[in-house]
Amino acid sequence: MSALVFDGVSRWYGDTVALADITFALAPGVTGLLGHNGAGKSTALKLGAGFTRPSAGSVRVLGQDLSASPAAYRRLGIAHDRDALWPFLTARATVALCARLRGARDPEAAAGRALAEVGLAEVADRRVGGFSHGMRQRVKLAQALAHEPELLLLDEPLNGLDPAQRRHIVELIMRLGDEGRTVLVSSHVLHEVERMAPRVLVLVNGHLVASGATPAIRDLIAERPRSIRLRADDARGLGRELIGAGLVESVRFEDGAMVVEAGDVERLGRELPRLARDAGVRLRRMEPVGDDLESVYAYLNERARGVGR
Amino acid sequence: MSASGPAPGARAADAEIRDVRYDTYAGERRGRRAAVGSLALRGALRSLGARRGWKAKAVPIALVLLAMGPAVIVLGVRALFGDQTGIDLTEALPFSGYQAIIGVIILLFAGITTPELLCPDRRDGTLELYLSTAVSRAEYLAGRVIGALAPLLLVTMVPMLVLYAGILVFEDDPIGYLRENWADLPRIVGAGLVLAVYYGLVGLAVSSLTGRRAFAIGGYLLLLVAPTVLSGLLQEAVGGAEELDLIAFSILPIGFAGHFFPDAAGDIPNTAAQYAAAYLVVVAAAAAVLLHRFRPGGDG
Amino acid sequence: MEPSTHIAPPAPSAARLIATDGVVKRFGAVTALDGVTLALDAAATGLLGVNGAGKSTLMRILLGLVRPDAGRVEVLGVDAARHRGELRRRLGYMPERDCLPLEMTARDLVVHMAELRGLPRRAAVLRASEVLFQVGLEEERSRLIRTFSTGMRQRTKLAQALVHSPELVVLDEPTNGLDPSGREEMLSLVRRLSSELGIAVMLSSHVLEDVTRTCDAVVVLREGRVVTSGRLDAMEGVADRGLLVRATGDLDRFAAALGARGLAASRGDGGVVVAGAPEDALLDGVRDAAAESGIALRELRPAGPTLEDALVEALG
Repeated sequence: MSALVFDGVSRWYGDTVALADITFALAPGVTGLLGHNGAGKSTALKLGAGFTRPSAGSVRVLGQDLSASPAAYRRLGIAHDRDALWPFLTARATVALCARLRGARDPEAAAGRALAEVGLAEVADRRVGGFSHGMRQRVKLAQALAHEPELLLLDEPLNGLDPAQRRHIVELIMRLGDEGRTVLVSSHVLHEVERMAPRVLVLVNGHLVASGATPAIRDLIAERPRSIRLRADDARGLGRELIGAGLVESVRFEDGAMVVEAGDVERLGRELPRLARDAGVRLRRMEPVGDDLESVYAYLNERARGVGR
Repeated sequence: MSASGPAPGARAADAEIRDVRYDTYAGERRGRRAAVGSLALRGALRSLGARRGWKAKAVPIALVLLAMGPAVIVLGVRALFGDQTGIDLTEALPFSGYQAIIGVIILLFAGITTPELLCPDRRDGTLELYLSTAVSRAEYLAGRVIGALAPLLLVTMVPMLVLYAGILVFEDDPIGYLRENWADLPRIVGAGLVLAVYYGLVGLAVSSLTGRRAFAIGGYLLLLVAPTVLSGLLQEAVGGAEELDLIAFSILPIGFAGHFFPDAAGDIPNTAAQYAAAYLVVVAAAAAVLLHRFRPGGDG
Repeated sequence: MEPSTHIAPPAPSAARLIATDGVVKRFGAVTALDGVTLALDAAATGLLGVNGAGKSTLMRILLGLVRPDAGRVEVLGVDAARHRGELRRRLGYMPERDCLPLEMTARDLVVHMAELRGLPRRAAVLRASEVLFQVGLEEERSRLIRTFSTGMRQRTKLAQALVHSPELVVLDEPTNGLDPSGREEMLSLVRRLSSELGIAVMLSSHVLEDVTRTCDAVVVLREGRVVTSGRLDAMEGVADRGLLVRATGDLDRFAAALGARGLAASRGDGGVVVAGAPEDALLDGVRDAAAESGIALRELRPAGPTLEDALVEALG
């Protein structure tokens, strides 16, 4: 049973449509929530957290309607960028309070563990009021996971963190997914999302444009040929051979490398070493281009926009 | 674009492409005084409501018109009814009394214009932007002070100059009048400056303490009006202690400036020296607050 | 017209973009910078460091906003402590924090900033229009900044940093708050600054990708000291970590073919890692073994830590 199910959900505020007819069911593990500013990510997270109700459709959290059964809140963890923390409480007190409200069995211990997980063990007994943005973000994250929830909704948890902290939190989130929890993470830094989330939901202008694993989404984009960047001695000679053998649709040269487009990447990969060897061309480097989340996301946005900027 | 225009990118016999992309600027660069002037001019115009919609313009402009009012009325009467009324323009509205008549207008004008010069920059964080790539603290402050004082002259000095000019127009012998009364001109200028500096610096000092215009205006009025009220009450209670006029901050400079005009000096309770001293104390305090807020290493 | 202080232009070969020597800065009991010595002249340099490592203090010192307690600072060949006024006009700064006057239009702000930096009015108006176009704000320039989205505000900040044609521009977290396409556009813009427009860039960011995509060199600060400073391409991958091959097909046959050529292979990192320096003999051996075993190549690159790994390790 999926931890978070949206069924035909729409949400509007007056004349503004925040979400239009969204349907998905989250699988266990980490799912990335992507979208441009204003696409509806925050609204989707608010609906999942029970902060607001859909204008149409239904949201089921852990199989239940949150407004009908508040007990589900105990199995749900939320970290929202916009929440305020009470500045006069210590980090430990803040997290323990939330843990207690959410029914954790030993709130103090849970708070200590959660703060250690996010790397705030040393400052656990300092007042939150003096914390930097990154530290506050981590306190919220600790609040979200202290009571060991099954479903976690995280809104831009890496905001304000320096590179080492970012890595640490990415690894933490991956661990949470490996433990079988369902985690929905929104972020703008796509290569980080790619590392921690095997699946993504892509929102464009309030609509759900794609969902699933990135490589699978890529496969569905049939109209775009695959690109591969090659570095070789005598790249031009190699390019000629590849075209002659009908293995690539186009060849271009860019930044000292050769980028080819091929319909059948597997066939290209098999024939390439043979061709290179027979032509006496040394292969130095081969990298797929545009299969990453960044490119897939850009393509989905482009396609959704049709005509326009 | 460089000062000499975009460079052609390619040229053939019957075609030409021009490269209009970003080019380094190699033209004239003006000195620091120009930067100060720019801060002053833009600050002054914004405080009068420029580019802020008609509502922001309405009040300052109305106040300026009201400040001109007495001069306009007196001149108007003279123009319409001529010598019949036997009004001597200089008696009807003596310069020494003009500022006292429009005192409230001057007070309000300074109160609503000076916050515009400092509060928005503090509230929006723009001060850091200016100080990091444009001007030094001293230049910023100088520009804003000038930007505050200049518009104030519109209500503290210009109305009296208008009156003076009007008198000249209606005099039978303007040159003669000018020769006899030329001394009034520096007095008018002095009085105008004395008031502009006072209300301007106090207004700026209060504005430098907050990013919210409402607080600045409120604080300014409180700081000036409360002691005045107190002075009045105390004088009622104690009776006859005219020195208490010196703490009537909202009208203190008017008394001081009044001493510039010999005909009125006798009517003013305290001496010029006393007024000067009190005036300097207030102005120095305001300047000290400003300098403190904008000291290097401070948050201002 | 007040003449500006005359600075003799530095000899081209001697000029460094940024040179510091033993810079120390303390705030009370906290030592923000503890003897920073740098010599930077790459077109685009990234500044990295964990929170509290001293990045913002260093930037503020370079911009002339803060005086160091000890040490020399030279920016564009000019003593930053003594000629701050002059330097201010040759630098551009895109701050991280909100600093835009909300009640002004983008165009008014950029024109005003140009004038403050000494451009006469007509030139200021012309250049403002041009730079707003370059950053993609030509349609929104007459709107109040109050109505702008995060992306538009970031572009406005960048525009005001560029309008006076600075020689060096300092960017503090330029991709903050931008969505993926906004990030993409900002990073392209920043790359163009140094590669096409001839403006030197110093960029500070918490997202390593920002630095690896736009910068040629990097400085890593830790606890107020420089731990690494140098070109990025010198930091990537250690030469002898081997070659990584990702492929589908009979990988065992591939490994055997490698072995027959005297090459040691092991499984790892989602593929096969071939030990040895990726030199000619190794590359040819891998190619031939692949051709022989009929595997379908997907990826071929040096194994070992990526640039990002190396940077994270340096950060501490």
